[in-house]
Amino acid sequence: LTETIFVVDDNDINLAVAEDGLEKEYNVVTLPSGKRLFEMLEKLMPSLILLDIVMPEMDGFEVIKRLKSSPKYKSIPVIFLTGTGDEATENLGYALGAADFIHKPFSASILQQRIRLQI
Amino acid sequence: VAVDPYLQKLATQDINRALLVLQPLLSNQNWSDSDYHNYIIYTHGMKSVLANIGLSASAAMAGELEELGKRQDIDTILQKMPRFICELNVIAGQNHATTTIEADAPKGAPAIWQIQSKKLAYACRTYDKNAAKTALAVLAAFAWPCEEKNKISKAKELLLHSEFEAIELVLNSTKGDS
Repeated sequence: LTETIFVVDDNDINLAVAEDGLEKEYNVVTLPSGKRLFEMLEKLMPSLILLDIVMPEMDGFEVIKRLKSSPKYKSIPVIFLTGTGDEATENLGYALGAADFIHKPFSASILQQRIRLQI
Repeated sequence: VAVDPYLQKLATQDINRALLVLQPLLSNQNWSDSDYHNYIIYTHGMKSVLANIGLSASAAMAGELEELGKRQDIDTILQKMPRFICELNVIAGQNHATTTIEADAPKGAPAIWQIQSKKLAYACRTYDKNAAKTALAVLAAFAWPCEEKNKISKAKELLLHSEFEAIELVLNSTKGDS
């Protein structure tokens, strides 16, 4: 069975680029917000979540806090997709339970390698 | 840099969404915390959107503006932002003009529509994105009357946001449905 990966980002082009890089190997479910992520989690369990940090309404940190505090979802690895390379952001992300960080814009091969390390 | 027309279209949508938030901020010199918050979210977003379509200088400008927002340096922001807004408008305008060229696609037949839309509906019910994309791609390879063409286009948009249930509704809708 093909493993499912959720990608959460408020910009459509980032969703499309991630999907394009991963769809040969995975079932890539692309979602435009944290709200849609939690709706989809009720229906389908992913092997991994690629999560943008800076988003309107619910940001990536709020999303990961909710995921990691849920017994049902806390074991899903979360990789942050970030356009910011600062240490404080990454430290906070790891403290909240992130498995890794990938910097945008990313290459498909790097994305695939980093995901393989997690699942 | 040659960019896939589909990605250009998505970038244009992202840019237009950002412009809706950023443009009105130009006429205001007293930004609230919420204004700064929104400004940072959308300049940050533009950084990766512009980089994804190969516009690295504009992406760098977005990054610079984002940093100014974090420092709440309103004077420099208002000095530099008009040029950036202007660039975004130009990029969105150029991309908007790039319409997809329809090749001499074969005419779609009702049987093709029926089979592929069944496949699409099943893929949506099982949350199988790849199968849904394949069925949509097959449908899109044919020339259809306006109503079906609009359904394909709407389904594509919905699929990017994984709105699986809504895709089935679109497929099954008939003229006059809201």
